[in-house]
Amino acid sequence: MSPSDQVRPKGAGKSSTRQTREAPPPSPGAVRWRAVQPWLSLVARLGLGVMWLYYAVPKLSYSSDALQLAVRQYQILPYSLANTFGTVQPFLELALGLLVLIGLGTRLVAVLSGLLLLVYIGGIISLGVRGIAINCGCGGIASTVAAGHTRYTLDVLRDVGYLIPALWLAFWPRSPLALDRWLLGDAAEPARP
Amino acid sequence: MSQGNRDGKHTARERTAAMQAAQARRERQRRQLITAVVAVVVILAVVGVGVWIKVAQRNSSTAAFVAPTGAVVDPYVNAQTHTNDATSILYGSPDAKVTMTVFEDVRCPFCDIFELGARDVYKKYVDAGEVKVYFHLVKLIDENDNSAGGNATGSRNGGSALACAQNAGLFDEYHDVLYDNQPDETTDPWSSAAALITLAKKVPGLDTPTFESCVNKVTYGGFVDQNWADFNTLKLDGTPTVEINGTALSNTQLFSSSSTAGVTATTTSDGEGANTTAVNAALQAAVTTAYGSSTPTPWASASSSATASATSTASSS
Repeated sequence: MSPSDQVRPKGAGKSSTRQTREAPPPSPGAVRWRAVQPWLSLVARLGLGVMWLYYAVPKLSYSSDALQLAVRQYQILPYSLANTFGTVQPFLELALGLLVLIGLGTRLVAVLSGLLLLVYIGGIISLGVRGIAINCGCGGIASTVAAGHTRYTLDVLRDVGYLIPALWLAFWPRSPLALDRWLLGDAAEPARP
Repeated sequence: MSQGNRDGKHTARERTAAMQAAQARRERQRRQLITAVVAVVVILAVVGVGVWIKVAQRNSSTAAFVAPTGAVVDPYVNAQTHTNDATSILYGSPDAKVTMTVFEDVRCPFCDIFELGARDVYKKYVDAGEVKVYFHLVKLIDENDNSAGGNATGSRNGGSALACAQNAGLFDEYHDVLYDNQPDETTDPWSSAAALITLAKKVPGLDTPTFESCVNKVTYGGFVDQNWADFNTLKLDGTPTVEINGTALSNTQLFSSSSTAGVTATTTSDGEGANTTAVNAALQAAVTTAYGSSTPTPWASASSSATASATSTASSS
């Protein structure tokens, strides 16, 4: 059972395997969903893609030293791992942003985006819990700030907000203007009336 | 037309349809796998090329630098960098047996908190000739400040100006003035040489044409760059990093959330102060180990509380 079968709305499922004259027409709600969902997914793709590029592009010009320091300041990963993550992170974000914008491997990219956001959320929460004051929330480039000048709650809420389009696309990746549609062809959407 | 016949036709039709559906599903899964593989390949390619470029950039960015008069090799840093470069500014007698290594950024607020709170402590030991300080000036805030399009220069210019003051033999005095007048972290007035020269007028004899030319040309910018490179080679967490005989003080030793002793008006708003008691205890312990118990206590007021902790810290180091 492929995931895209599961996401097909109820009511449309039966008509695909049994195209008989006496099959009941899909309910008006299902028809409306079928028409609207791809466009909502397109909006989610644009939102998630622009979000990643917005945070990744400024980081590309930073020296790898600054990027590595930014991750080290979270004091979670050991030095070498923190430095590796710091160097890789902007390009990972860039790749995820580009892929979701062109709609290639949308579901996979959405799941990876969600996981990366969860890592960020966990990192910020752990900063708050351990009382480490750094100026996160300016797009991954962090510097120490005076205690009391942090805004971790806002940062967490913002990242949770970014999770919404990622989750949406993990469940409903189908959308127009996507390379997926071209690669997968009609086989991806057998139930279209 | 019997009921059974109709059922038979139905089953045949359904079986064909089911086979077609299964066929379509397999084809769909195959294409989905291909799509996912292509996506993963794209991710790996972007990351790989990007990291390769960054590493290449980093390897090409190490350049020669000029050091100010009296700059020395910090043995504790050189043990890891192996450059044999005179990257630190020595404050105190070269004969002092205890060394304190400080990585600092003139724009960094926590450096200000440490300096304003603890300078009266370490200067007593320096004045007694028992402790010498290796100052390393870095540009951490510049590197993390994206307000000027990632081109903030206050840390680098300020560090260079301090090295200019070192040439004039007035490093300590100008060091005090800069920290007494440190701007808010989110602003970068020291990117302007004029602001640094104005502050130099507070130090008698510092504001000479030679000094002004040195500040204007950012003569020792490369000196700060080299220290920043060393900071990253040493994989330090942040500024200030304070090491006594090569052992770093913890954040708890450096800062206290309750103690505001020695902290001036610019830092008390954050409710944070330097932990002068712990800094004194650590220095006292190192001095006691180096000079023996017969050494006169340089800071009498702290001696009673420090002696007990001095013995315990000394055994661990």
